Amino acid sequence: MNAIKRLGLPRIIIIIFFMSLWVVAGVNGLHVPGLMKDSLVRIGMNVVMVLAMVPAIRSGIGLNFALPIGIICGILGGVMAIEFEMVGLWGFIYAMIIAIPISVAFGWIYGVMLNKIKGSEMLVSTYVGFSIVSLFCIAWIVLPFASDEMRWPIGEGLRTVVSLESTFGGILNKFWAVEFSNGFVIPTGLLLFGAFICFVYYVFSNTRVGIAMKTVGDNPKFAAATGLNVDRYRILGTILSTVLGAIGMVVYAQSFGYIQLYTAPLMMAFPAVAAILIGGATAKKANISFVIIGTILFQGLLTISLPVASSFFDGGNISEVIRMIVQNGIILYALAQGGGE
Amino acid sequence: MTEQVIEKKPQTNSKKVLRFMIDNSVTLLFVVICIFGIIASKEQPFILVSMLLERMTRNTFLVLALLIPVVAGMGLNFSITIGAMAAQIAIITVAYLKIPSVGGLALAFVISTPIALILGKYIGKLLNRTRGQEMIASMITGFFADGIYQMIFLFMCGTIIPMTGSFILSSGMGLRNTIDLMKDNGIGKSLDNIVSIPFFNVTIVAGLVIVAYYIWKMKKERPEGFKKNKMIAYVGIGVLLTVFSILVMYTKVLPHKYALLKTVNMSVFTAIVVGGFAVFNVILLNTKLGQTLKTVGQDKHIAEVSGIKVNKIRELAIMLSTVFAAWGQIIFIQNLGILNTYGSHKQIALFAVAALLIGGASVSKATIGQAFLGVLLFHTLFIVSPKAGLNLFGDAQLGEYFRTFVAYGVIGVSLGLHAWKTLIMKKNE
Repeated sequence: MNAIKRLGLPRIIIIIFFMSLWVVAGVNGLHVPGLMKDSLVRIGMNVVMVLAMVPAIRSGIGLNFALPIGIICGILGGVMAIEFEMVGLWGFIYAMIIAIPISVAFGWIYGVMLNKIKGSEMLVSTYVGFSIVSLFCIAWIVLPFASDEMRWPIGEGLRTVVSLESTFGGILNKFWAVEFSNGFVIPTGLLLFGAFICFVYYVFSNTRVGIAMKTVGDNPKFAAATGLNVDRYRILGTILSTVLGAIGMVVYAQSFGYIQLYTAPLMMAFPAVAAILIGGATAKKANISFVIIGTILFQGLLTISLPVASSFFDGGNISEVIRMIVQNGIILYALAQGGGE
Repeated sequence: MTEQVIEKKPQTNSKKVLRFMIDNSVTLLFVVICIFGIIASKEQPFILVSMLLERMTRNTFLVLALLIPVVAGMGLNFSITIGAMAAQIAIITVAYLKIPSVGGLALAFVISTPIALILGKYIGKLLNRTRGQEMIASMITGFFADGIYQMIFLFMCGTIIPMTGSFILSSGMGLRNTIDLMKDNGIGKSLDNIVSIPFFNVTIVAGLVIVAYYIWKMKKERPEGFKKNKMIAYVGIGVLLTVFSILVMYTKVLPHKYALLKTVNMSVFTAIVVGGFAVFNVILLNTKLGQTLKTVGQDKHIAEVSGIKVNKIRELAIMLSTVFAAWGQIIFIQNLGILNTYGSHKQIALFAVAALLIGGASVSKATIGQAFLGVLLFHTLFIVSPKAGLNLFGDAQLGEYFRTFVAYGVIGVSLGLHAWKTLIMKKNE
């Protein structure tokens, strides 16, 4: 009974829904190994972005709805790699090398701003995220990129979707990939990379700085009393979150095979927020196991709901509707749980 | 009284101007941007005036729907999207039953009201559980409801909900993307077409009324100095408006560009509905209920102590807002004449909130004047920015991205500034 209460009704519904979808998939004779492969890819490509929520929550700024800042930095890295014709693994690394310093700078500025608006972080950050995405819509037209790979053949600016096929698309997914005869593939590189980033973060969180940051997030007044600089650790948390968002975006793009520009990143923070909440996090508490469980449940659910639904009826992207209901439902639930002033 | 006068004296006029500019910086900035945009777009005056007039009559009601939650201290109600959904459910019902014209419209108002009230009740309950985070919660509630709405109309219509005919997609499940409300004497434009007369005939009357009112006021109050000059300026504006309108309507002295203004029509009845609603808001806020709302908005604890059921009042505020949003959306859709089943409600909250903030409102204070001014400025920007982008940078898309950026940006900045001010005030206490 206690466990049920701790899980909360929405999570129980999601878990049951998730399980029953797999059962139905098996019963209806869908190609389960293929579905498992797709799920694994989706989990691997999203896990870093979900991880980006952890430093934000731990340092006390709450759910980072301004993840698009990091995502934009990641996209910048990606398009720079294409611009300078970096191919293969080098393209991927180069994208990171560009994205990380930019995201540190952006994260720092944003962190300073967040310290001025304590208590309203979630709402303001949502609109900061929206603003930065729409600002970069203008930038994608105006910035002087010259690569034919990315520009519209006629007219101004970059294309809405840039293919990574000739540069670094799928570089992690194909790395040490293990293929089975029944169609199941383990995208080893992708999963290893996600695990590696999680591990690095885990190591960091056990260092002196990591523990101090957690203390600041848990109880800012106590932290200040023990001589920790609360504002500085909040900025650190914001920077880490933004950097992880940027890395997450590069990983996402290489797996997806395309970089989507313009308004595509607008809503990307919400699935990441929802995933970590489904995993068991709250606006004040998060760890890496929540990230992994949440990503598996949420992304797995989204991946298989469409094929399962279309084995019953044609037409309509029910996966998108389920995403909207589950994602926003869990965020609302979390807000209502943390309610009161 | 005398003390106040002494205190105020050292404030020179230049300081007063500076203070005014700081207090209204957002609005003033937008006035500048709009003027610049109008010049850069080189838009025909008649197109500008007619589009602006149309947008003002159809959008202001929705912006006004935001006022009551602000007064009740719940911030900007992003969940007016849900009111819009209630309106669309009503519109779809009326269109499906093929009830024509004004009768259909009236029925849409009737059907949408209970739906919006019930939904508003639940949103209110939810927002009571997320105190202090109402705005983000109301926004996410809007997204959540959108998911449910799509579930109903994409997957349940034609399957669980028995609907047939041309409304349903050929697969037999889900509603079509767009519903034409102009066809078969539908409800499209039915409110607007009740009375539609040339706009500059209206402004002749308006100009004369302004002149008469201020002359009467001057006779009665006999003001001195600055106040007198101000009133004379108002009379001047009235005279200019009347003369210009007469020149437009009844002479041919103006160049062709301006003579075209003659063809601008105004939906007077819709405008009266919107104006009446604005007056209704003023009256409501001056009743006992209005006072209660204000008390709750100012300090929940004091309200609680003085015996007000705070949660009930907050629920009521959201219910009213949701119903008004539903009515506003019906006015909006009937003017468009076409319902985008899955899209018409999506941007409603964003645009309404942005407009209100541009008018100079904040999270804790908003007036009817700010709503009107905000709609005027925001939609001027909306009309001119694609053409301005085209003329300045050779790309209309740029202007469109710019206006989206402005909408998001102004909300972000206003909310951020408000949070910052609140924090400083808390520290000072």
